[in-house]
Amino acid sequence: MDEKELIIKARDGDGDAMNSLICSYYRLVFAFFYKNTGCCHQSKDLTQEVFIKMITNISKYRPQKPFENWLFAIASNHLKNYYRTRSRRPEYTELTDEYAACGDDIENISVKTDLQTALSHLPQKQREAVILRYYSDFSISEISKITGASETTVKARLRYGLDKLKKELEGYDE
Amino acid sequence: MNKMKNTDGQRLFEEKIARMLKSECVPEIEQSEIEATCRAASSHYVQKQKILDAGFWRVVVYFRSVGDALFYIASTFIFGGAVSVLGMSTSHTMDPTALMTSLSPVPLISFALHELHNSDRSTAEIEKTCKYTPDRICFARLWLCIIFNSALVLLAGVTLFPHYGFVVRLYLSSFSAMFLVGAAALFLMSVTSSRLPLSIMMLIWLVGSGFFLADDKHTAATAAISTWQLALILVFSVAVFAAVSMNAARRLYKTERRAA
Repeated sequence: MDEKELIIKARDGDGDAMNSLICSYYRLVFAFFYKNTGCCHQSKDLTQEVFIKMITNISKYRPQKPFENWLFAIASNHLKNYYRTRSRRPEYTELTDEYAACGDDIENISVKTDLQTALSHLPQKQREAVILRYYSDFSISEISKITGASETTVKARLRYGLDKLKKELEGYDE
Repeated sequence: MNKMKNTDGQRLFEEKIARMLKSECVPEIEQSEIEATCRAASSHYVQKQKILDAGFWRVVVYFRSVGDALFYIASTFIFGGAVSVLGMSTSHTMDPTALMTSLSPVPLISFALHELHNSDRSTAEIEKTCKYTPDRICFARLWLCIIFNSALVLLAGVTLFPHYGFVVRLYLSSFSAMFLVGAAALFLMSVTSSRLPLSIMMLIWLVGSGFFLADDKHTAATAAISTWQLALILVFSVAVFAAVSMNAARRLYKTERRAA
């Protein structure tokens, strides 16, 4: 069954179709939150809340637009609300444990923590744009629709974000 | 040349960032956790609700309590009794049209009050476990009450004023009042769950219509309104009622339920 059929069935109340959609997109949405917050447990909670929002709002989805973009727009709004309610910058306390859990060696952990630390120093909007562009592979126009910012703003966020990352990661070679 | 070098450098850096981000490890998610999310999400899902749903109307009609049945019987007797007593005793001094107009919305308002009185928290909780939302059931019951109220007005007109030559006028003004008051009741029910505004509205209606009926000038003015003007008022009141109903229906007959 293709994705369009799944979405139509989900809109008509098919629970299995709804579960299939959640299973297909869970890891993508989780990774988006994890890259942004750096916190595994918080990312799981945020992911669950996004799928609840998806279910309650699926009647508003228009099939003319890609489903993934619509879902990420919900995720992006949810992330904004999360930062607004937290009213402080996210902390990256769990990283070493999480990477260790992934089975990476100590050297890689230090390299990845460098990137995560550099990302954590970016303003939230720039970080989100960088992750959507270079991790989730969305185009600039798609990011503009997902985040609700103009394409010029997205380009500016990416440029400033990359400049800051460049400075932070100076001296680092892959 | 420098610009070209910069562009190439930028592109290479972008590629490097993309590679770094993708090579980073994201914690593995167990299938059981995804299934837990599916379960949590499914409890927020309400099946698409259709107006012409036989199962829903079966719930609305059959799941009436004994108290509801008694309410309908009592409304019939009170309304019929009041109309007959007032109609017979004052038939020579009071305009039957004005009398019926003032009394016709009474069962509807008292029904709305009864519905608000019964929709306590525990009942709402029980109904939430049902496939249909409590608001939607209440809305359907209000519609049933309007049908019941219309039948009462028709019956009262036919049985109590059989020789009344202007029965069309009587129906026109009675139904106008009923639909206007119905719209106001529906609106109040949609904005507040308190019985106070509806009680005040019922009080104002009864006292106001009492004063209106007591003054011969007012009843004479009512009698002077032509039939086509009354028909226009009825069309207007039906339009107001339809607008309020559609607004409520748009809110109630949608797929999603607000997350708790």
